[in-house]
Amino acid sequence: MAYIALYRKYRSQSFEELMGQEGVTTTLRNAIAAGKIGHAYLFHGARGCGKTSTARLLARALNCEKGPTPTPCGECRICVSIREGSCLDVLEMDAASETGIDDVREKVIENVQYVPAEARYKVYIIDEVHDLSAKAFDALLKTLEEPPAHVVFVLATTEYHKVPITIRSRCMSFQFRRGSLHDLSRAIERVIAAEGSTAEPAAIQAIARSAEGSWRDALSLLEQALAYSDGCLTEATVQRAIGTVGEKELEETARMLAGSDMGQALLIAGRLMETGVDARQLLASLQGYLRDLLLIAAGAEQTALQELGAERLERMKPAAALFTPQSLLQMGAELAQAEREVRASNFHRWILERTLMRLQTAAHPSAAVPALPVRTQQPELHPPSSAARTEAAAAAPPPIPRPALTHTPEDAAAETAPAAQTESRFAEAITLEVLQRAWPRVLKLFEKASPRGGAFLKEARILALEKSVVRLGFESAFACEQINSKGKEMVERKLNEALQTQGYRIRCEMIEQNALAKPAQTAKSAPPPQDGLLAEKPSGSSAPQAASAQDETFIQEVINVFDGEVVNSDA
Amino acid sequence: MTRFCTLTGQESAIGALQQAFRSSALPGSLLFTGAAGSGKAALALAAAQTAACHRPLQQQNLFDACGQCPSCLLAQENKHPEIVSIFPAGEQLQIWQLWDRDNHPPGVLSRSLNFAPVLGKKRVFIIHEAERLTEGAANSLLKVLEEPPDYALFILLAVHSARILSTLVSRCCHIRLQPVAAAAIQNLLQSRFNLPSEQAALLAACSEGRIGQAVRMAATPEIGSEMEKILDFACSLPQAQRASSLRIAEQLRKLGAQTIALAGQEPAEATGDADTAPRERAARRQLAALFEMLMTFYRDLLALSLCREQAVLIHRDRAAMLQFLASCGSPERWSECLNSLMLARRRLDANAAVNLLTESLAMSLLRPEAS
Repeated sequence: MAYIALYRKYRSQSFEELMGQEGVTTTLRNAIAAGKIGHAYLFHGARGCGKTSTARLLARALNCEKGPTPTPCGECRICVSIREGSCLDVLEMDAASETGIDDVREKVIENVQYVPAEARYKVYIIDEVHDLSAKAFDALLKTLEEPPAHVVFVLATTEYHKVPITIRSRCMSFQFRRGSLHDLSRAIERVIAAEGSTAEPAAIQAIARSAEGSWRDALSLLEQALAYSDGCLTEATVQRAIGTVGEKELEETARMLAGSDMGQALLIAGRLMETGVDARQLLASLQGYLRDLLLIAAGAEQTALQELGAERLERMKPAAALFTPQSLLQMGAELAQAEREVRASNFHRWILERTLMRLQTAAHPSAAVPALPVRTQQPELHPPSSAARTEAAAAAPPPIPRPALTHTPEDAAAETAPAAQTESRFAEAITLEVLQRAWPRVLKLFEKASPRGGAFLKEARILALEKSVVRLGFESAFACEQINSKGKEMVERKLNEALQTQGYRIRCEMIEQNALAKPAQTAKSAPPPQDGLLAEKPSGSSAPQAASAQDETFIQEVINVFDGEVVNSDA
Repeated sequence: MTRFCTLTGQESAIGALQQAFRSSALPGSLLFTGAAGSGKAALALAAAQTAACHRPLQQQNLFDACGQCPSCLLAQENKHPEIVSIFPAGEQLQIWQLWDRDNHPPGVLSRSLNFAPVLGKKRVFIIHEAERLTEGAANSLLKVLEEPPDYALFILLAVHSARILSTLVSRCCHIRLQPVAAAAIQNLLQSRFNLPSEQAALLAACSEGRIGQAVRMAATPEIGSEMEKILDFACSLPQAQRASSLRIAEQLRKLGAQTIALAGQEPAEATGDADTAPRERAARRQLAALFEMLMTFYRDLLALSLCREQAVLIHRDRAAMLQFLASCGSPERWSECLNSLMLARRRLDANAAVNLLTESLAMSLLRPEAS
């Protein structure tokens, strides 16, 4: 008999053994006891939570010789043949390697009509069902909706979102949950006892923590650790097998981070690398350690106690006192960034050194970045929205005078239009300046398409950019009307073409004669003025100046329209 | 192929495998992870040969292939029909390489998974670069990896477990190839290649614990001279004027083209125009090796300017020179240089134009005009 991996050897053989999925098993057992058996089940949840095991248990419960029973005997002919995978009526299909419509047709659809050969029900277990092709899913729909009375489908997947909604609606869905640390440690203890070996509680804890809530991971990791150990399984062995870094080193590193000696960071990194620690593992372990510190520092005593155990909690408390929750959060972000870099590059030593130095800076937030206000300590004076607004107003330059507007009917529509940020990749890069630079090109493009419209559009000037809406100001009501009624779509198309974006819209407005030009310049980089903060119109400038300015603009316009130059000025 | 007894380094991984063999507790699916050049493939072949061997040697603490039975003889010549290595076809490992699909060559698994081995004791499938499995291909392995036939052994090789599907990882017995401690590599290099201790230490530091890489570097004598050349060039950088940055960029490119052995490849031949793509890729790899070498240099400068005498250097042979150079700039400057080198390295992978890349790199490496 060949060796079988632990997670196969100790697959749950009864509903009682199945840990941590009480919600699912109770429902299934009650349904079987009451004889209300559904025709299609969909099991989903994280890896290694017992989906396939439950599917097989269900098949046995339905087909056991002692009647459909919530407690299959496990000894009768059929139970045994199902366990060995030789039962003719329990068909397990690997949907990930047999993805096509032909596979589904051949294995399922053409076969459901035949009554079971020996058992009561024909059970189709379609594992990894998310990988079926779209066609194959569709081919299943009719069969799945109304199968013959002797057929039960069980679909299992880790990726629920990939299963089409039409399939989901035809099945009873059960979500499998990840196991708690407690559940996992109990499962590991049980297996260790059954295997006849012994282990330190700390070792079991370490494995359970690395398993991330998956029973199968826990047993695979245990298997690895057992391969490295001889006799009693110790925490050190587990660390060696799984590759985590010891708590002592981590604590030392954390103490160094709390200090302010940069050279120390380099020395520690050097020492760790010399001893052959994998940089990625070290970063991951450090991330986990800091997260535990955060638990303590944030005052989640109860959770910390549950996860770490009393002894470890006491040991970690002094280290946790070195940091504030804010700095720990920031260090976590730095580590996540470093982990990405490590994946992309080979020069791990330097990444590690730099990360440690950066973490050191992040650990002293007061120096560089002002600490985030802690909610509980500062009673809030304003409701958040108004506070945010006053803050924004304080940070922004004083509100700009804005010309009086005549609102157009499009206003409402433009405001409710979806924000462009979600639609366009470049949305963030577009500022008023960019827009102003691109505007001549928009004009040119538009003119090419409609020469007459171009003349009207030339009168427009950009007032402001509000999210995805460009506000254009017109002096002449006629031009405004023309562009608004006939050319709006075209302008938007050309605008987006010139900016290489999508979803930017325009809004045409009238501006009054005496408030020209100026706003377009001052509006640069200013945030859209909020309605509440609108200032009054600027008082008109002195008359002669205005006149000469108007002359200037007039001459400029003449030059523009006729493509000429000033030969002689009589003014 | 190799036997366990011919491997050096990775004792703990080998020990774990041997123990699994000894107590006949070898699971049907294994995952080896470790950086490129850490010896994954060699270890996988050794494990495969041992698993297939009918009369394995079994002593106190040792378990190895016999090296004499027909299965072993075939395996040692790399001709064993039941030990199959699967490599990515092009950039990715496609599903048709594993399972039969229309309009493709027959899949390896469809052809042989259902038949018990004849020559050896086990049928072994070694999947190289498992991080390049397409999503479909990876998913299609889930069921077989979970419950492989008794006679099958799957070995997946990957750079890091985070790069493959977590559902795959959880089904395999995961064996990590740790970076080998620098001192051990140094010893190995000194004893096997008779290198002077300083050069051995340098190679050990540059290989970052990847023993295969270190051996390769030591076995190629050109590497020493190439590194010297790069370092000579690097030493001129901290004091160069900003105005010469374009010339420096030019030199960078030229140096990159000469960095052949360090990048671990045959010289890019001047073949016809038909395949410029491989040549382009090779050139990029060479530049990448150059950048990484420069990083070690700047890293030393940073270490020196931060820790003074205590600094642990990579380029110990040039300590005096480095000490002087380090005093020309602030730690911030060196760390800035390292950042721009990292950025350049990343951009190189993202197919940035080489000329622009080197020029902007040179500009940021050189001394700012003001100071």
